[in-house]
Amino acid sequence: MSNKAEVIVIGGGVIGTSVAYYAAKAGKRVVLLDRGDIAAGTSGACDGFIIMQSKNPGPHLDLAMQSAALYRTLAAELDYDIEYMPCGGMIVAESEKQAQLLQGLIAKQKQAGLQVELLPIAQARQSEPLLAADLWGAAYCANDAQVNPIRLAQGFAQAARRLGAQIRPGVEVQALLEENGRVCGVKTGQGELRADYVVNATGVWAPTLLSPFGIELPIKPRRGQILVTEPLPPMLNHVLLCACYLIAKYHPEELDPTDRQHRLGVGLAVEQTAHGSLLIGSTREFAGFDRKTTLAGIEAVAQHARRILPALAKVNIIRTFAGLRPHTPDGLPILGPVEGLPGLIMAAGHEGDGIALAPITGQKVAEYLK
Amino acid sequence: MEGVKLTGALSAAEAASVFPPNERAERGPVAVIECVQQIPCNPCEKACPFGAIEVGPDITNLPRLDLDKCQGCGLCLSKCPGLAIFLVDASKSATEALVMFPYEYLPLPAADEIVDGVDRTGRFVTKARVVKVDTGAQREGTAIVTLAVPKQYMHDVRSMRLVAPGEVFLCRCCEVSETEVRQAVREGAKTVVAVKMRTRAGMGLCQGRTCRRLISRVIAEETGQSPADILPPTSRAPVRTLSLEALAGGDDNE
Ligand SMILES: Cc1cc2nc3c(=O)[nH]c(=O)nc-3n(C[C@H](O)[C@H](O)[C@H](O)COP(=O)(O)OP(=O)(O)OC[C@H]3O[C@@H](n4cnc5c(N)ncnc54)[C@H](O)[C@@H]3O)c2cc1C
Ligand code: SF4
Ligand code: SF4
Repeated sequence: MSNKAEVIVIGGGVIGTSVAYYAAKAGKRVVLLDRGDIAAGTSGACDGFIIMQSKNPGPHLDLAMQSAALYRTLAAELDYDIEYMPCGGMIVAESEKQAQLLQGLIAKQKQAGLQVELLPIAQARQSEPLLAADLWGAAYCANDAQVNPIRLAQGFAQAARRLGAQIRPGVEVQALLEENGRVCGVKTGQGELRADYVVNATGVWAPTLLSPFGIELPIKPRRGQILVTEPLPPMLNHVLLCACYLIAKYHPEELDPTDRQHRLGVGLAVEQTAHGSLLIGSTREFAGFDRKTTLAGIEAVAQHARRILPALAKVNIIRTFAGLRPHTPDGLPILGPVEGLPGLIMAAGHEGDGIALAPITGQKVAEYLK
Repeated sequence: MEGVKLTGALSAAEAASVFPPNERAERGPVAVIECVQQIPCNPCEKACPFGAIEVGPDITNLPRLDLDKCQGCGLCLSKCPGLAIFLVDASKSATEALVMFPYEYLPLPAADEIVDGVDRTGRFVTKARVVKVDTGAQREGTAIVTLAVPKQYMHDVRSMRLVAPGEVFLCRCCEVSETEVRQAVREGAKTVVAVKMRTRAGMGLCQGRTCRRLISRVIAEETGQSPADILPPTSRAPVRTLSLEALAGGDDNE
């Protein structure tokens, strides 16, 4: 390997590949390293919601809306089918109480310029007929969309490569190299590599590389378990979330600890992929770095799915998987330079929004690499 | 009853009766005369410049091959009207054997193309690489194709089938073609999981039970590793498909 680059990106998930792409597009000589492969981490074990109405109004929603705008032309720009579908999304409310919670969020979202509408169940079922008739209703947003995260990472990586970036799977970064107080490269299993900037896009694994410098990044893995159905004819018109998802995410104090679904943080998230399978998720649990699925977890997800979409009862589940969300205490990613460690740029901690935020993250981080 | 008279192809027992011993094939190319019907026919006898084939005065006798006289020149292949003579050669590599046979179909394969090696009845045996396609004058219009196959299949592969690009689905559930899998391996996917990430192969109904081995083999072929060294994918519940209802269980809570 040539041992001097302008930018080293560590991590080949949606975030690292996006950074590599936008940096290469800005004319930088980029090397991307992943100890596994493109999308071997969380980005290969998640849903593909680009959902706006789940974001807290403020910087979170602003970023998401800028990202959504980039998504509209991304497939053409990357010249790669990322299975982007601007299908719109619904957040289902089971009860009056949940509807009120949504109502509060919607008022603030409207101020931020996002159009969300609260539909009573009869109206919601006109466009999403499989919803249970005894739900309260759903919040609908036309700006929500979906994408295939694995193809997204592949698309970014291949486009970056065409722009001259080196994409090197199978290279593990063991440590950051420091010289005169500045991060100047990385030590890998295959030798040292130097660069003007090092971007840490290693998701849930990001803290490891910083602890030798006495910096404790507040990123913790939060597991999500997902069920995959057999391929089915088109049966869902939107990406679907339920309000529990938002409660689990923003108001965990509202959860009932005697309820197993609540305890496992189950918030329904259902999408139909381009080839027909439904992805039904998911739990939100702190279980360390364990990527196994559990019987309790998949049972709870299945029960919740049956409650919201009773028509799915007979559908066959062919697989389950789990991924680790890079959780941060405030739900916002850690982006940009690190105080006291020039040369290092962070791009990690996107929790459950990394897919939605990938394009804007890459674009913003590339701006720091001047 | 199974055999050439009923099926038009040699039964396993009939075929085995004419195999040269493996040691002979390890020494170099040798003819395999899969002629087991006593019909009045003897062009092979004259075809051999080394006198290795003998039918004798009674031309309904089966030809006998002298394994020591046979030089493996392959001339007899083109002279047998029954397309019953083949050549095997196990001397060129530790793992692969060459199998040579007459091939009368068009289009012809190209050297280095990967084709399906098939048995006497046309059933798929293994992927095989085309080493040579001989259409020279002494071949009298019938091309002689040489394939490289894994050694254990040298007694099974007796013809080939072209693989139309994009048409062989390694992963039938997700309709992922062998070409796509090879492409993914060339782009850097060196494990079954990596191939799955790029192509979806193995994500379908069978959950990789059918295609996993095929994918490992393609990776092995492309990278020169042994299939045993290719990392298997992770398996997670459920191993057999279950309905959502069954997974959800009876009641909605503990
Ligand atoms: C169940 C579930 C559902 C989700 N659904 C959605 C959704 O619908 N919408 C949404 O927007 N987000 C969703 N997310 C969140 C999203 O998946 C993540 O935020 C995103 O994938 C994080 O991407 P990343 O690139 O930061 O991390 P990763 O994809 O984990 O990439 C990090 C990479 O770094 C590599 N790496 C780690 N350490 C090293 C090292 N030392 N040297 C070299 N390489 C290293 C790893 O191999 C890995 O490939 C979901 C997450 C889960 C778990
Ligand atoms: S290959 Fe040559 S030597 Fe062997 S049998 Fe045929 S003609 Fe004779
Ligand atoms: S020429 Fe062919 S068919 Fe005739 S005897 Fe020889 S092998 Fe049999």
